[in-house]
Amino acid sequence: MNHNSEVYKQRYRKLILTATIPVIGIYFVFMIFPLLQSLYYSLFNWSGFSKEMEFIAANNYLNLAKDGIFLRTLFNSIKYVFVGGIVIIGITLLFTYVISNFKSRKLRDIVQMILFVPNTISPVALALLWNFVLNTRWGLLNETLKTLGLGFLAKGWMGQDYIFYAALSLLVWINVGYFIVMYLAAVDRIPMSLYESAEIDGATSWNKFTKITVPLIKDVIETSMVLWSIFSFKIFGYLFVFGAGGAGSDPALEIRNIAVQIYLTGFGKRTPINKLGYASAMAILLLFFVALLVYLIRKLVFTEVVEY
Amino acid sequence: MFKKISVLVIVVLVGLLTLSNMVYAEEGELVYWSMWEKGEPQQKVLEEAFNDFSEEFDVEVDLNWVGRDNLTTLKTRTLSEQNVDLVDKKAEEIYGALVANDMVKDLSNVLEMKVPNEDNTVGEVLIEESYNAYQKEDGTVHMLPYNFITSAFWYDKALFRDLSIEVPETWDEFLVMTEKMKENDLEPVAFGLQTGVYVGYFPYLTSVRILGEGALNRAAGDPSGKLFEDPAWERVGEVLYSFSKEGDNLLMENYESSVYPGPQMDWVMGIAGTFYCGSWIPIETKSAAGPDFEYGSFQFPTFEGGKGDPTAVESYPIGMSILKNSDNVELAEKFIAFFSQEKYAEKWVEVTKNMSPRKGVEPAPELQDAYQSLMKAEKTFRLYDGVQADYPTWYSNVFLPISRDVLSGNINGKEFAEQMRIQTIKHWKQN
Amino acid sequence: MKFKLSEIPKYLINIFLAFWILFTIFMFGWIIMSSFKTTREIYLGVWTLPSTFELTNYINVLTEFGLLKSMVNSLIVVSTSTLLVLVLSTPIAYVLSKLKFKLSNFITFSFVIGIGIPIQTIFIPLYLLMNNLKLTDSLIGLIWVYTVTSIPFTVYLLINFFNTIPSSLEEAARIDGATAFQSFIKIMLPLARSGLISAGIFVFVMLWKEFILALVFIGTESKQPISLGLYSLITKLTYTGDWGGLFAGVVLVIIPSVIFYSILARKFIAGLTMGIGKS
Repeated sequence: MNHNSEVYKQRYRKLILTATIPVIGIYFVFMIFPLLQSLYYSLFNWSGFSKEMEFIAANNYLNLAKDGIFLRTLFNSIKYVFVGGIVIIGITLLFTYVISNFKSRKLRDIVQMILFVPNTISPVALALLWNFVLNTRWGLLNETLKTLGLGFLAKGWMGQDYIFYAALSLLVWINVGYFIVMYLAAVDRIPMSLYESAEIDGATSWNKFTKITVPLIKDVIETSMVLWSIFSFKIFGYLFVFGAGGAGSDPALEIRNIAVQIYLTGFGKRTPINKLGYASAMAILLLFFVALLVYLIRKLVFTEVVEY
Repeated sequence: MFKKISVLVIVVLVGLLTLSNMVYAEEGELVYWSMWEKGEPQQKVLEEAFNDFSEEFDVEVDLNWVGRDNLTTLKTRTLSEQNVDLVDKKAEEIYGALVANDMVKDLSNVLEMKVPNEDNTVGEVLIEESYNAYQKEDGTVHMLPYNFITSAFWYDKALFRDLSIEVPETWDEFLVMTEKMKENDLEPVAFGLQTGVYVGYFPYLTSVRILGEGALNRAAGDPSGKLFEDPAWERVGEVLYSFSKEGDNLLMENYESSVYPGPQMDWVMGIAGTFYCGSWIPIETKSAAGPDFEYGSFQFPTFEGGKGDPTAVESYPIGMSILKNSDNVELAEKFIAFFSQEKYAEKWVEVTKNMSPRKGVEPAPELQDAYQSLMKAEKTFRLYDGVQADYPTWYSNVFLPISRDVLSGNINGKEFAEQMRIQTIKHWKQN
Repeated sequence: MKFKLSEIPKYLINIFLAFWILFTIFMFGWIIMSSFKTTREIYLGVWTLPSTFELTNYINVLTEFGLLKSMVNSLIVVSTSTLLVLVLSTPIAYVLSKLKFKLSNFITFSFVIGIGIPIQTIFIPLYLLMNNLKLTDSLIGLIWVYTVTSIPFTVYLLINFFNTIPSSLEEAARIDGATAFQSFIKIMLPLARSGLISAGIFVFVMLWKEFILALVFIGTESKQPISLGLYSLITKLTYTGDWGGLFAGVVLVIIPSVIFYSILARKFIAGLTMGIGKS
């Protein structure tokens, strides 16, 4: 594109202005401005019920730095990003490998669809159902293991030791289906000719995958990393209702991420904490971590959009 | 083109403004922000009462069946100065959220009001024990109940008869009961360690029995942690430790990984012998109970030398509060008095199968035992000894984690007392 | 250090994949089966068949609780929001993708970060703002809030999509003397049409599931969207311990979503592949 010509700039000026200004205006008024207000509230001690607020400057932030519970939820959030990310992207890549090798396009579409279905369903319903699946005594998982004679593998999935992985398994089940669709479509755009010439050289399907496919879908992999990082910090519905959280109890500390903790602190589930200023400070920090993470991912993952 | 788009944007915005159908309560309209969802039995009784009220006194009522998150969305209403008159929730939450932030008014004057269509005042028809735990020393009370819940150990009477198990009153008798259950392949106490509601019970109840009502509350609020130095706390810890698998193993097999509704299901299906829970449990498990299941309950056992009143029961009222800034304070007060009528209390018991705080209204047979213990009670204490309302962060960040630790057997009785002391000091330093 | 990743045999992964698919199908089969059981039967055993395939659970759920109205509400709100989001997001995504002007990188980045803004953070200030506009507890207000909060994500998705449409076609048009608008409307949009339809379907499903904004902005029960209806249903039924009824309710809500998705699956898949698939 010729960026230098004045004529070009003139022509596009109108389009740029019309396209961007209203939307940026809306975005600013309805999202950025409330966010700034939230930043303002984070400097106060505030219950959220009345306009009475007590100015305490950066105290909320200082307390957060010392708050064991908050730090634990931050640690959990990071665990979800990295452990979850590795598992999800790993499984998605493996599935991409086999599904892209299916001979029947129809089979591929059906499998894709089944994998995706959990994404269409309400998080609250799914978390509750997962609860039933993982119940130690009655759950689908343990009952099945026992029926298959694998009873020794049946564990207390919702207990302190495993519940994080229990929650993670739900998230993995849902998100692999989400990202697989992106990955498969990316594979679609790779010209067959590249594979054909590799075959002539005697490459196995695994080689073809690792040496041709993966490098060429790197941009999609990066996009999925960015999206997962943002999503995992923000996940709320699934974790809020997971496990004991279903009824009138707070979700177990082991599975809480920052988004859940923000809600519990600012509004409370049944324990009336109502520290909205403190919760706002948490939210600002959450955004900061998300921005940092996104920045690091874009910097560290080497991407080059390859054109054909 | 730019002009065209700007015009479009303006038209859309204007359209939005004119077409919006804002629901603002009108003058003299009584606004109720309910914790119940449409379709729940409680909602039906309340709706009927409000409609009757509306007819009898010729007032408009605006009923909002918000659900259990009503206190969350209440904030948006109060901040934007939309009128809300009546709100309800369990007393612990009302006190923790609304009373603590000075949002609701004192209702002691309502106690003096006459109940419409009857001869007595509200104070005369309500069982005092249903709300006096929440009454301050100066007599002010910020919520008046229409539902009364207490907690207890629930059991199947038929099962106890079959196995000739006696209902225990003291801790020693309780241990005898658990032994007998174990002999008969029953897991004594259903429990879920990952469910906060249950975890809080045994620690607070043990402290109430051994150290007296209000002791936990005082100790929680003491930044010096000195109140936890009382050796009785070690005893509390030891009792809790004995529940755990490292102690006397009184809890059901998978208690560490059991989450709602696991424990109550295991109990009602006959795997566990007892279950400690609030008096909502019969109705919640009725559909899963076998045909021969007979609901019965007994109170948390007493301890030798314990300072707590042996007849004391937990007070878990659910009731209404009136917002201070309400436009219709008098109407709201009138409704509270109106709802205290006998006919509504009877309907409440019949439809919701919960207990009514009104004198002389017999509850469902499943709740008879619980009701009797309320009648006998000379004292009542707040749910969680009031720490959930008064010190919610402490409850959540100190009390529950340490309770979980001792109930899982990770720490023993002595460590329990130590941890409570240390963590309380730490907590107050940061808050 | 050199790691040699030895070849992972396809059949192992295929077995794993088959297990995954079977599990998913089982899950849904089990939910459907349980919806016909009584509460006691659900706990008696996972694999037992319901004694009678009674429809009591379904009848109860449908008559007692207003799920039908909430489905209609969702349909109105979510469709309108989706359309609005597309109208607002497409031009700006095009501009940010194709025309590199001074602030374009910064603006793109701020939209990406916008995806990360948690709703709990902004819903109180947003509520107060919408309240001043007299748009709370109204379907139109909810439409607006849904639209606005979906913009960052949609813009990001569409930027990725536009990135793959070759610039050559536009350049050719420009050389021929077309104005910016003409180039956008006559050439870009038709090419992007399938991508836009797909993005729309994608946003639709996301908003269909959304519940926290609905919880905050809708007070009147008759205006509840389905996600809120389901949430209320779950709350109601857990408090009465009617697990069979709960499953029936869940099935009733899941089925439209799944059917809707199956029919539109192709377009759907294409939507997620924006920026990645063939244009």
